[in-house]
Order: sequence, then structure tokens, then C-alpha cells
Amino acid sequence: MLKTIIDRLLQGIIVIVCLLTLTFFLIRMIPGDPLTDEKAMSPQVRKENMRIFHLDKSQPVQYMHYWKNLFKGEMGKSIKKEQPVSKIIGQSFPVSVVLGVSGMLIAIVIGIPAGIISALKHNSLIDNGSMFIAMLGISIPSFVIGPLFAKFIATQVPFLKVAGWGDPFDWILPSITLGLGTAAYLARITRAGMLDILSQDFIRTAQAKGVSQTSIIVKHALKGGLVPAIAFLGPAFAMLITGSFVVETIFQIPGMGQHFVNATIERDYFLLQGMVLLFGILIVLVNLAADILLTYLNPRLRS
Amino acid sequence: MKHALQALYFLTITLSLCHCKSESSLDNYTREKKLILGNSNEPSGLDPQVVTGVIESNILRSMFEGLCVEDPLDPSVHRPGAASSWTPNADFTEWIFNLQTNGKWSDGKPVTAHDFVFAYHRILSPSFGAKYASMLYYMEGAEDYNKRHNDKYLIENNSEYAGRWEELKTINFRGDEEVDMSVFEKTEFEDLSKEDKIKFIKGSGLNKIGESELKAIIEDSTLFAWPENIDAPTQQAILKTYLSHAGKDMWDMAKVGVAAVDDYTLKINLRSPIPFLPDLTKHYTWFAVPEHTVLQYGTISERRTKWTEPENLVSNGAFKMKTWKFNYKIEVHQNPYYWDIDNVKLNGIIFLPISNQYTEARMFYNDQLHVTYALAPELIEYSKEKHPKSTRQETYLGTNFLRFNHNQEGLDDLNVRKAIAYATDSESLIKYVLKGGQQVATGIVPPMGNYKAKGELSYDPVKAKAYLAKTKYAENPGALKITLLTTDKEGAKTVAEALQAMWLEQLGIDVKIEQREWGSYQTRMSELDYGIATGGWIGDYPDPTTFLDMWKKGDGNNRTGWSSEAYEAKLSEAEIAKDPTTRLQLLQDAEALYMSEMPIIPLYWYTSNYLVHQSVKNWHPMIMKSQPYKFIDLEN
Repeated sequence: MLKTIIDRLLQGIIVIVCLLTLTFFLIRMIPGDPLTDEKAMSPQVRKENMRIFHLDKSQPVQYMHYWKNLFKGEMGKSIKKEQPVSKIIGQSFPVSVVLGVSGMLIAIVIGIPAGIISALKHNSLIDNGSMFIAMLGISIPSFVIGPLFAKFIATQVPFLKVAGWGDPFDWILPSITLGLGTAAYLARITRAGMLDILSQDFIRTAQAKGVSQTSIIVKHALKGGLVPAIAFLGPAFAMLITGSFVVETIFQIPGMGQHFVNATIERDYFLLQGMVLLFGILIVLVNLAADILLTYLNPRLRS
Repeated sequence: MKHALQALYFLTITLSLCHCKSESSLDNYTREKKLILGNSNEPSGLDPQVVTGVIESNILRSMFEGLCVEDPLDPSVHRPGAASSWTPNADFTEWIFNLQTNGKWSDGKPVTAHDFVFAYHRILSPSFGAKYASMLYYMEGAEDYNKRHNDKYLIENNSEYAGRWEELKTINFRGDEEVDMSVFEKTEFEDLSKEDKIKFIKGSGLNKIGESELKAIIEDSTLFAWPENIDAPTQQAILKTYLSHAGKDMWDMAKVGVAAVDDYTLKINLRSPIPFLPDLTKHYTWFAVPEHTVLQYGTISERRTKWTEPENLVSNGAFKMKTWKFNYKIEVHQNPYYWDIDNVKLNGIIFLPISNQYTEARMFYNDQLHVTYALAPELIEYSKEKHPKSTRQETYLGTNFLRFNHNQEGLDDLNVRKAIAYATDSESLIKYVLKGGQQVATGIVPPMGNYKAKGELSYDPVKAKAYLAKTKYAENPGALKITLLTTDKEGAKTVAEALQAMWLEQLGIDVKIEQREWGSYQTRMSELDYGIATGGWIGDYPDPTTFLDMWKKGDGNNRTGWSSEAYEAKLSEAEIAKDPTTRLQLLQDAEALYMSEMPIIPLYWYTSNYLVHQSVKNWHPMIMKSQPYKFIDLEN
């Protein structure tokens, strides 16, 4: 087990190095640079700014410079916001974690039970109904659901605000908006996984032996049935934390998702690099966690 | 979904039972006299000499104060700010500003004339790289200093070379503009081949090369193209002079036109008559920064030091920094040391970086904001109906236009440009597409003060066809292959499609729309890689030159490939005109000349749509939206 974890971590490091390298050179290949602005700079001011931001060196030199600083623990400064990248991440990451975790919880609380019940009542009204809702949940984007929530719920409930990020009540609507789409996916995946397991021979054997239905589901079916759902949850969690751009702008939340999008649009090289680094680490860690969980659930993976 | 919503409802209602009265309601803020503003986005920084935008300006204006301050009602009146009074000389080239004797920084130290000199020195320092340094070029010697025209100080005015300037001025001091320097941007001088070294030095000129390059020329004089009449000893002497000053600040030698006569008297000398200097001093580039604080955290030419961190930031305005939470909010509160604190009505201001206009409007409708930054066009009608007293629609000092690329075949023909311009129906565009109450633009300069726009452009399909008939495309307008470059911003495509349809219908010219995201769009425009491109310009100060100067040859914002010597001559003439009326007349002539050549099509003059809550008092329309917050009050 320990060997697997170390193996996975080493792989993860290689993945992150590749990711950072690709981002570093790809973002510099798109037209425009961080100093491109609506009001043009004079050539000599541009030159000074290239120097100030160390953009005046060749790309390989910049690349080496980047790694040297990264080893020293410095991610550089955002070029557009003139703030240290570490500070920007330090302020927005906790917000995104709160949002992502509560979104995730909502997705799990709604999605997994819905999937299980649908599978158990296969082809019933409940199954079709909840799968229809799940389909809707997948198809209706958060930029539609979010404003609807703000307009019809936030304005009616006294302690909910249409937007803003102050007290914990402000977490409610954004995390529901964020979690619903994932909940819908999760419900479908759980249902498929459960259906697959429920049609297996060992379940039928258990039923023939007279084991109670609850016991079959909890002890035998769930373990295998949740495997696809958990494999999906790993990356989905990382996506919820970093990919909340739309929800952030709808509810005015100082999270990380917008930096991801804006850093690319504005060619904010160092900020983008920092975001990608964080995203890479997240993906590696959550996948590892999902793998460990899967090994626990599925004995065949242990060898 | 329905169940989920119901469950949510019950959950929220249950939660509400245990939740005490929300403190965030707007009434509470109004009672506490704290103004909450939507401010579009996180500022790029809060150093008045570094930043360049409206968002930053809104925050800086609360914390800093220029020499003069806007009057909320009359744009032609200048109220005393950091200066209590000022007097120009007869031809507006020398100004004396008397500072407030009780003017203090928010840490209690006095605001002196030296702080202003320091600030102007700082923003003009060549190695500081301030993007807006050109805003101070009106001062004598400022441009030379900022652009490192060191030959002026080291050679021309140097007694060592007295009387030899005529002979020496043939030397390449200022660099050859024809050399493409961008290829050297990413390579060290030492790593260049000799050929490239020569090219690099030629492009830079003696003024802009460093110590290592100078030493290289001393060793090998063939690296620099010396004029034939300069003998070797002179060459060596000049190089030695340059070397002895390499990397040094030339401020003292540059004699820029700003001086502290005494602690509370600031003298500004201008390169030409500028009757609108008080307007300029309201712009953040002309603000003072606290010398003692800036130097505590770094040198004068060092950018991005810790002096603008929220706990260190010291300012001289009505408010000072309280909290700065990145991307969340910036809060300022009263500066107890402010000279006019008795007349400041607000206790504080909170700036929220709300980039989504719909979110911002929702927050306003739900009583979470006093003033919004903008209002989405789709919401204007709704707001006018539901919140008639809150919905504002005001003239804003800016022009939206289309650039013609003059290097493109077809568009170099004035008649083609005129045909397209007259076939452009701005009025319909505003009425049916933009819906923001914009004004049809007849020229590049929007109406301001005593300046009457000289352009006469109007929609006229008959004229348009007549102009097209004069061109070689008369028989076959389809042969004109033009791309219309636009951004990927909201609404950009609809505007482009409307224009496309107008030109196809009136002239039979079918343009191809190319939508590019922001960075690529800017690059394409700078590289003149387009046919027609959408664009806009917001004035920096209420004077026509802020719209006219950018079309000079070589200006980075021109981006059309158009230039005209006659036009620039008119501008130069206006610059030295001593009488303000004559000056405006000359600028109008310049604009008329400009419009007759049609390098652009003006589409509309901007209108600012936004929402102001009823509790906000003294929030008057301002052409540059630069509200002086000290006059604003809140009342329920």
C-alpha cells in the first residue's frame, strides 16, 4: 500500500512538472503578452516594464528562473495586479475550499441517495422521475440556476443575500448552485454502478439465502456499486474547487475560479503558473485519495 | 428538483429562526454614513504613479487629493485641494501653487511641496517605467528626462563641449527608430553576434545603452557608427562622459519644471501654455505621494514596494485605508488629519469588485449597494420603470469608433472610407442594438466645455453610394475584401453584425467578422493586421487634446497607419497658442482636418448608465465620473 502511495506521488510530481512546463510555454505562444493594454505604452516604457517583470530574457532563461524561484518557495508576483501570487492564492483558496467542500457535500447528499434509490426502484416512476431531474440538472448550466436562486429565493428569505460573501448564510445558495450539476452526474453514475452490481450472481445468491434487503444493499451492493461514483468524485472535487468561475461571478465570491480564467485572458503569466501548480497538486492528491478508497472498496485492486 | 427546492425552503426558514437581525442592510450603512459602491473589479494596485485605470482612480480619489479638486456641480470651477490657491502667469506657462498650511498625511506628517517634487521625480524616473508618465510631459524638461535624452545634459549643455554642439549633434544619441528592437528583447548583449551588437547599439543610441555596452565601444569603436567628422579622441571623451554617468539619475541635470520654492509653495513651469493645468492636477498621476513612507520601503525608482500594503499606505485625502481584502472589498475611513475634515460627511466608503453587471444590479435592487458601477443595457428599461429616481443616464467623456487600416488595399482610398462612413447608421445602432442612450458621434472629440465638435459626419446612404461610385469598386463592391476585427466581449458580435448588414445593404460590401479575445485583438490592432476594427477611447482629462494627440505619427495608440503633417502642425500651433479661445479654435481646425481624411468612423459618444440609491446625496452627473467623495452625504 505504502509503495503504491509513494509510486503515485512520484508520478504526480512528474505530471505537475509537465503541466507547469506546458503551461509556461503555451501561454507565451498565444498572441499578446501581459503588457498588452488598451492604452499602448511607449517603446521605452515597455522596455522598462519588460525588465521589471523579467520578461526581457529569453524563454529558456525565464523558464530556469521560474524553477529556481519555485524551489525557493516563490511563485512570483502577478503582473496585472502587482500582488504576490502566494498572497492571491492564500486569500482565495480558503474561500474556494469552503465553496467546493459544501458544494461537494450537497452533491453527495443529493446525488448518491438519489442514484441508489433509482437503482433499487429500477424503471419505476421514482427512477424515471429522478433521472429526468438529474438530466435537467446536468443540462441546465449554473449561470441559469444561480440567478434564478438569487431572484426567487434570496429575495424572499430574510437572511439570504442575492450576492456577497460575509456570514456562513452566504454559503448556502452558491454551494447549492455549484453542487447541483455534480449531484446530477453523481446520481446517474451511482445508479449505473448499483444496477450493475445488483444484477450480479452473488447478490442473487444472497437473496436466495434469504438475507434481508437492507443487509444486501448496505453490506454487499454499496461497496461495489459506489466504485464508479468515487472514481468520479476525485477529479470532480478538484473541479469544484478551481472551476467555480461562473458561480463566483454570479454570487460575488472572492474565490479562485476567476483567477484561473482572468489570468489566461490577461496573460498574467505568474498567476496562471501558480493556479496551474495548485490545480495540479489538487488533482494528484484527490486522485490518490480516490484510489486509496477504491482499493479499500475493491479487494481485487489490492494486489 | 421541486422537492429539492422545497427542502431548501424549509431549511432556510428553519435557519432564519435562529438568526438575529442581519447587520448588512443598506439602512444600517446609511445610518453609519458608510457608502457602498460597486467598483467593477479588483484594482491593479493602489500606487497613484503606477496604475492606469478608472477602477483604481475611483479608490485613489477617496484617499488622495490633488492640488485642485472637482466641483460637484460646475466642471469649470476648481476647488482648493492640497493647494489652497494658485496663480498662473500671463501666458499660462508658470504656475505657483500655495499648499494648505495645515495639510497633513494620514500619519500626521505635513504635506509639503517637496512631496510633490518627489512624486513627479518618481513617476518620471526612466527606470520606474510608469505607464502614464506622459501625463506629466507638459512640464518643462519632463519628456527629455523620462525618455533618457541624456545627450542634452551630458553634451549639449556641458561646458566641456561648449560651442561644439553643431558638430556633435550628428552623433546617434537617441537611437534609430527604424531598427526593430523587439528581436533583442530577450537576449543578453554579450550573447549577440558582432553584427547584432552594432544593430542593437544603433537602435538604442548612446543614451539608452548601459555600462557594458559603453565599455565595449571604448574597446572596439567599430561597434558604433560614428559620424566621419568625429575624431577618435572626441569619441573617447564622449564615451568617458557617458560612462561616468552610466546608471546614474539625471534628475538634477534635467532641470524639470517643478520646484519647491519653500515647504508650502510649489512652482510648476510648463513647456507650453496650458490653461487647463488645474484639470490635470485632479488626475492621479499628478497626486503627491508621501516621500517619507515611500522611501521607508524602497528607493525612489523602485516599483511594487510594500508602501501600498494596507497597513503601510499613507495618504493625504479625506479618507485613509482601513481594510483591503483581495477581490473581496476595499474599505476606507475618515482621515482624522485631513485639512478639511469638518466638511467631510461620510465616515467611510466600501468598494466592492463586482465584475458581473447583472449581479451588481441584483445587489442594488436587493438593497445591498448604494451606487453601481454600471448597468447592463438590457436592464435599463426595467430600471427606468421600477426605480425611476435611481436610474442615471449621463454623458461620459469617451468616443466609440471604428479604425480603418490604411495599409490595407482599398481602405487607403479616401472615397472608400467615406462611402463606408456615410453608410454607417449610428442612430439605428444605438436605438436597436446598444440601447444605452448613447449620443450619435459626429467627430472624434465628444462635446466638452467650450469645445464644439467640428465633425459633420451623419448617416447618408445617397452620399455613401456617390462616394463608392468614385472608386474602382463602383462596379464590383464585392471585390473589396475587408475583415471587421472585434473583441469577444458581450455584445461585440451583435454590433459587428449590425455594421456588416448596413454596409452590405447600402454598398454591397460584405465584410468578414473576426472575433478575437482581448489579447489577440490588441496585438492584431497594434500590428495593423485588420481591415476595420472596433475601438474606443476614454478621455484622461477634459480637454480635446486627450482625443487628438493619439493620432500623431508613431503614437502607440494610433494603430491605423494614418498620419498627417498638416494635422500635427495644427496641433503644435495650438500647443503654443497663448489665448485659450484661439487654442480651442486651432484644435477644432485640427479635428476638422482629421475628420475630412476619415481615418476612423466615429460611432457614438459614451453614456454612463448606472444606479444611485435615493439615500445618496450630492451625487451629481460628472463628465469623467470622478465624484469628489468629500461632498457626498447619506440620509435616510
